[in-house]
Amino acid sequence: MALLEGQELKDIQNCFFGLFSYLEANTAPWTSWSVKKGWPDKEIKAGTLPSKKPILWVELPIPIEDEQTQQGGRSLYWYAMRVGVITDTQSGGPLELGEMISRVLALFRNPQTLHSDSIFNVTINNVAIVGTNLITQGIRVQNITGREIETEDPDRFRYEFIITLYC
Amino acid sequence: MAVDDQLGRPPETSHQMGRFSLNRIVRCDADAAVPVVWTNLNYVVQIEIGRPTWKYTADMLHQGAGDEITEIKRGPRWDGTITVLSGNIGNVLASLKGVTWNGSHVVLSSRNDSDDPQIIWEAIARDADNKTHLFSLVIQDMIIDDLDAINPMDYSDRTIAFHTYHEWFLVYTGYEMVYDVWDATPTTPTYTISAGTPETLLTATNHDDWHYDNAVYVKNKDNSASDTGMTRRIISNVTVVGAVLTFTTGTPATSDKIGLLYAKATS
Repeated sequence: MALLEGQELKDIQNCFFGLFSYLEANTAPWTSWSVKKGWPDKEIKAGTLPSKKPILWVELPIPIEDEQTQQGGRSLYWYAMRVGVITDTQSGGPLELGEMISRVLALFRNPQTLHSDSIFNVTINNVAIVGTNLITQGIRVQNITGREIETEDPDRFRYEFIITLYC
Repeated sequence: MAVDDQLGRPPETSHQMGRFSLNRIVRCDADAAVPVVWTNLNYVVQIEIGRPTWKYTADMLHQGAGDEITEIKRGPRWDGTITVLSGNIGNVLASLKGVTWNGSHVVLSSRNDSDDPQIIWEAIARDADNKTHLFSLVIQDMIIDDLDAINPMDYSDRTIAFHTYHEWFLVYTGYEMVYDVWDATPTTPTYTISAGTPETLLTATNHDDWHYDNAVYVKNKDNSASDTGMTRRIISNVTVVGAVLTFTTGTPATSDKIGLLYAKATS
């Protein structure tokens, strides 16, 4: 099953959400964190998160380059996708944030782990796919960069990565 | 085919990222082993090889051909460079030269006194999972050139120049090169190929410098003739059929070595 034309942004987000959800369900210390799709506005406003668990959220990718080739007009697309982590003093504070950042970086710096055979489930084009990986779904990660984001609340700590990918 | 044909977009594998490449070598003069074990190379930034230059070229006109010219070319040579991380140039060079460079052998010479083939290089291009094979670049019979040197102030890469007199080539997805070396057995002119029946590489009769459909080359190191390396390519009186290399005539003498470079499916 390939990414559905016209639905690529949602499908890419779903794949990364599926990957992080798999880690949340199966692999410590990811099991200590909560994975969300999109900025966790609802939880933040309700004041329930991140106090219970640090949050890792996956946003929709942003198209950044239409790579031109002389191939009848179709092209590969490059995307930048934001993945953020947020925690507060009650859910680990800066130390937990450091752990999360390190784990995310380590995951993306180890291509064999990142693309482990058939690990996560995802629904693409309304079809449930069991046991897949990013490469099988046609996603290639090029690099990852990150920066700390200042917060208004001094007890809250936030960091965001930009993942560059093409598919 | 129509002028308004619509092609799909290129697949993701259209981009091959060098950082997922594995570079490995075998020495042409390796001790007898079937197969010779590859040495993985660390610290390689890139390897580059140019188009050939020709020692002799001539434009030929012949009767009945009008103004059509045939260019005759002989004596190709390919030059290239290996770029390595500066702090490890000695380690890479020692691996390439097949010499020890450590506390018991502290000098690594920058000279190259021989024009004999030294190295078979396989650059294995892989997908973004760092394991799925895409294709391989093979440079046969590399000869490391004399080294230049620089010790600059800032970080930089270092290059090691090389040349070869035989063409580089690409290997298809799912296949890899194998190098078998035997000690010659004159009384038994057959040699069992370690990986079984070699894969078909190409149609040799369509390509200069290729003599077998299923082998890059067969070589004989003739020690009685004082060869200093595995340099003599055997282009006749040898068959590679099934998993057996057979010398039909001209059986190598005792103390000779035989080399066979071929391909197998990656297991």
